[in-house]
Amino acid sequence: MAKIIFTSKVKGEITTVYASANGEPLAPKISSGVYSIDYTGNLPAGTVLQVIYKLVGMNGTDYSIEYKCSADGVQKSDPVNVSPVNGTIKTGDNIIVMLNIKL
Amino acid sequence: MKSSVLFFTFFVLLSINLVGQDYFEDIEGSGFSVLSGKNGTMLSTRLNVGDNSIKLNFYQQYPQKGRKIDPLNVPKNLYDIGWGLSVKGKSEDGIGLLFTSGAFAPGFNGSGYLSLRDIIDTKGQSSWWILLLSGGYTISNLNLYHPDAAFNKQLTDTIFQGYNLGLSWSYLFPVNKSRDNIIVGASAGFNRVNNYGNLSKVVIKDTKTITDTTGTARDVTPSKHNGAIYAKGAYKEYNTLKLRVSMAYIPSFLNNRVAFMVYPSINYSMIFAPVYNTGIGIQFLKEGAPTVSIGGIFVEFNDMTNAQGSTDGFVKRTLTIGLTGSLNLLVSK
Repeated sequence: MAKIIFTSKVKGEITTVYASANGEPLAPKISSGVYSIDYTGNLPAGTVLQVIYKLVGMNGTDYSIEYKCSADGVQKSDPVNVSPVNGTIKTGDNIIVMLNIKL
Repeated sequence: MKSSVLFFTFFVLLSINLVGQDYFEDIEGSGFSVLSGKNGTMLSTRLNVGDNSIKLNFYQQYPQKGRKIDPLNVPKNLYDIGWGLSVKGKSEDGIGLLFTSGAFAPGFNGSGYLSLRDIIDTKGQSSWWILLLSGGYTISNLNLYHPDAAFNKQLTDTIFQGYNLGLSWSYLFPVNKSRDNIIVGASAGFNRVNNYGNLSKVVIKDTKTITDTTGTARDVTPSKHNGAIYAKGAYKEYNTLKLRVSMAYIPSFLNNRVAFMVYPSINYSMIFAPVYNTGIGIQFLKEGAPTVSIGGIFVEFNDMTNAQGSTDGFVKRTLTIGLTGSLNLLVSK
């Protein structure tokens, strides 16, 4: 088992955000206008940590997700969605952001 | 026609440090209750040459504490509550007077509001409505001119104290296919108001005539060389019930950076027949943040049926053009 420390910050004028890590819902905290969404746990080495964000906001709202993930102190990342993940909310196809981080 | 042009240096600062907006403000300093910014605290300033005011607004919105929600299985309804305070200083005669003369009729408004927001999820598509309950108090020092009174009673200062209680509802929905945004709303407000703004204005200067030995006369203005503005006519205070509907369209083909607004309203009172008004406006929105207005222009036609019996022509009587701009100061915890 590897000790997983995942931290992320969601920036932008979004209305709200929902998130989960490997299916476990996470509670966002807000400070200075930034949503912080973190996860810690123990997962088997070689598995994938899947973090899902659902963003709610008006069409045209820009967002940025900055994240860091470590497994037993070794930095990991999603090669497809490298931090920061930037985008614009366009309802219908761009309100779910999914990170797949191989541990 | 009442028209105003805003030259504040604030405009050069508008591109920085803007955060969530609680209103798309109109000419009277009220409007759509967007409140779609993040949960947390907001402090903002708002300049409005429609009602000649500078407003400081504080807003706090709370999510349900420790809310853990599966993003792939969001509940149909999710509620946030909030509250806010705002204070507004205004010149009853025009905000430009703040910079040219101290001789204006000052006013102050303080108000508070409670908000309830419901984020609705329908098959993965989110929309949200906001309900606002607001109350406020207004005090103004008005200058009135009575030309038919005795000389020492022609100029009077009148203290006006008003109040307002309002309920407004707005519904925001991002349009899935077109990627536009639409906001619809309705509001009802009970207000104690006056007709000072509709009275004609005169500039009063105290002058002194000095005549020398050759008979040459000279007019001297001892003080307040710009004079003071006074309202002339039948001044009235009365209660009104204002009903308003509003709609805003934020199209994607303009990158969601412009909001087109329309907001007809009716004022009911005991002393006038119903007063019909219509307003249209354009709000310019921050890039990548369509909840944040950085400025707007409004054209309003008020009392279109001349219920208040003005002798002015239609355009002069009804047309008001105003500008508004914002400088949001900070977001803290």
